[in-house]
Parts: sequence; structure tokens; C-alpha cells
Amino acid sequence: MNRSVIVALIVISTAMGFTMWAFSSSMTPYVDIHQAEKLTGQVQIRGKIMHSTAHWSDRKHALVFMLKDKNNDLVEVDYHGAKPEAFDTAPETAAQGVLTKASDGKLILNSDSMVVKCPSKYSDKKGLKNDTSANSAAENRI
Amino acid sequence: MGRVRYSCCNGMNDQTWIQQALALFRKDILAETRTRVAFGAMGVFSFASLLLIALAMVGLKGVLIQNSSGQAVPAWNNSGKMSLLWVLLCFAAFAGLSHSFVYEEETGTASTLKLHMGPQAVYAGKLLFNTTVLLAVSLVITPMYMVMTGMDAGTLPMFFAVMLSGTASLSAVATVVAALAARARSTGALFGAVGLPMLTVLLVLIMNAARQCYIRSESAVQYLRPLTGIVCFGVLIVTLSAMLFHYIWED
Repeated sequence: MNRSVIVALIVISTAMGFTMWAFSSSMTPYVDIHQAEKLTGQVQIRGKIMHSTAHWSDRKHALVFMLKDKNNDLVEVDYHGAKPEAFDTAPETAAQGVLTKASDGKLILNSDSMVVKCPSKYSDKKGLKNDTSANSAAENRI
Repeated sequence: MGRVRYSCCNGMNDQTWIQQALALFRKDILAETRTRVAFGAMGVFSFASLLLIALAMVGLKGVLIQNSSGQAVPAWNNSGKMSLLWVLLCFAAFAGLSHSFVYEEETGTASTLKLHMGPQAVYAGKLLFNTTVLLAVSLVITPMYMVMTGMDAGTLPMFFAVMLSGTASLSAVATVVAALAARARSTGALFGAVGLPMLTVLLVLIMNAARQCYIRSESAVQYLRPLTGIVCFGVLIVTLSAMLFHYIWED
């Protein structure tokens, strides 16, 4: 192999590395609540909607509900935005936002973007487990 | 008008590729000052979009929206203005620079270029010319845009760095896509299709950096990270194009 090709390949791989490094900051990672506590900035948490806790808070001007992730940890989500149409029937959601700690130590996810999972037409009758592949498309959204 | 001298008499071996590239650059500048194809296309396009954006966004002036922490912020803010400026520059680049290689094919001068200089020199010359044109256009457009929309520059060194590196990287992408498109029959459609993946990544990187202009931060890494991204993406595209250009050029 001649030398200029080797130099070019080194330049390309270095540049690609740095580009990925910069580009990764625009991705929002999918995390569970435990991990999210350690992170600052935008995170995305996926979990079950606790429908009994969902209500509109006039004070916060937000849709407030509890979210239970796969480790059964709970977090309060304050969703600032129009309530998604399928929210009431949706079993799961992925809420994107910044995790903050309230004055009483309670964790609150301040979210302005949320992807709700559609209720499955088939899984209840056949007793199949809800598959999560529908949500994987939304993973690592820019 | 002075004549542009090529190394036609003595063959291409007595000139280095840098001299050849500079000769091509001078020839393109001269051709541009005579015909003003690129400047005309970009100028009309940019001015039209500038006016359109300014008029379309009148309705958003003074409108407040609530952000995720419940504070009221202006809907038509600096980051938004910066994003639209880049959309504008991006389209201007693609409207103007697409001609750089098509022009050579149409006038039949591509073969002359192939005879007298190596592909590296052609690529370097065209890249130099495109970058110069795009920088000049952005130098005119940006202040006009800032006056018309009232956009703030934010952190000034960061702003200049973003504009400069972004414009250079954008012209690198536009150059290689123009070279690809010139070889195809339906140049227009292909130009957009091939450019899209490269452009998307570049625009995301630029948007990241642009947002950072308006966020005060103590650590230099916060500023450097998005900038490195833009610069390295530009370097990546230039290196790859330089390596692969002769496959496009000499089919």
C-alpha cells in the first residue's frame, strides 16, 4: 500500500471519530430512571404509564403522571404539551426531557416530547407478550 | 481582460498540482466575473428566501411559548433564526455550486481540463473556487439576514467560527455532490438525492454548534465539541473526495 493512502486512512478515521463524538451530543440516550439520575441534560425514559395517577395540573400547566420503568422504579413526568390522542389507552410511553429534583427530593422529568405506544390489537386475546420492537424505531432519535 | 494561461504547451509535468489548481481557480474566477452564473443564481435565490423568511415570520414576533421548565420564551428566538439562516445558505450553496462541474461538461471544456491537469488539481481548484464563492455569498447574506430578522450574534468568536467552518464544510459537500451530479443525465434530481445523507449530518452538526452560540458556558469543551464536529466532517469529506475524485472524473 502506498504511503499517501495510509495517511489518508488515518486522517479519515480520526476525523470520523471526532465527528461521531460531536454528533453523539445531539442524540438523546434511552436510559432507565436509575441511570437518568446520574445524567444531566436530555434523556429519554421508557416505561409503563400509571393511568390512575394521570391528571392535568393547572399550577404546573402540564399533564402529570407517574411512569414505571422496567426496574419498577417510579418517576413523575410533567409533560408540557398537547396530550397525545392515544395517551388514555396507551400502555407504554417514552418521554424525553430533563430530570430535575424538586425541593422535597422528588424526581420530576420535565418533558416536552413524548412517544406513546399504541395498544396492541392482538396481544390481549392471544396472551402474547407486548413486543417492544415498535418502540425501537424511536430509539436514538436525533 | 487578461488571458488565462494553461500549461498547454509543455504538458502538465512542469507544474505542481498546486499551481494547476490555482490556474483553474483563476480561470473560474475570471469566468465568474464575466458571466456571474453562480453569483446570480445564489444572489437571486438568497434574496428571495431572505424576503420570504422575513415576511413569513412577522406573525411570530412577540409570541411567547412555554419551554419544558415552564418559563415563557420567545417563539422566534435566536437559535430558530440561526437555523433558518443555515437552511437558506444550504439551498443557496446547492443552487449556485451545482453549476461548477456541469458548466465544464456543457461547454465541452471538461476534456481540456482532463488533458492538462490531474484529477487532484481539478478537485482542489474547484473546491477552492466554490469555497470562495460561498464565503463571499455568506458574507453578504448573513449581515442582511441579521438586520432583517434582528438576529443576535451571541458569543462572537463562536459565531464567527461556526459561520466560517460551516460554510467551508458546506462547500466541500456541495463540490463533491456537484462532481457526481455532473456525470449523470438527470443532474437536478440526483444532486439532491446524493447530497441528502451528507447534508443531514452536516446540518445537525451545524445546528448543535449554532445553539451553543447562545448558551453561556464556562468550559471551552462545550464550545469546541460542536466546532470540532463541523471541521472534522469537512476534513472527512475533503479527504474522501480527494481520494475518490479520479473515479468520478475519469470514468
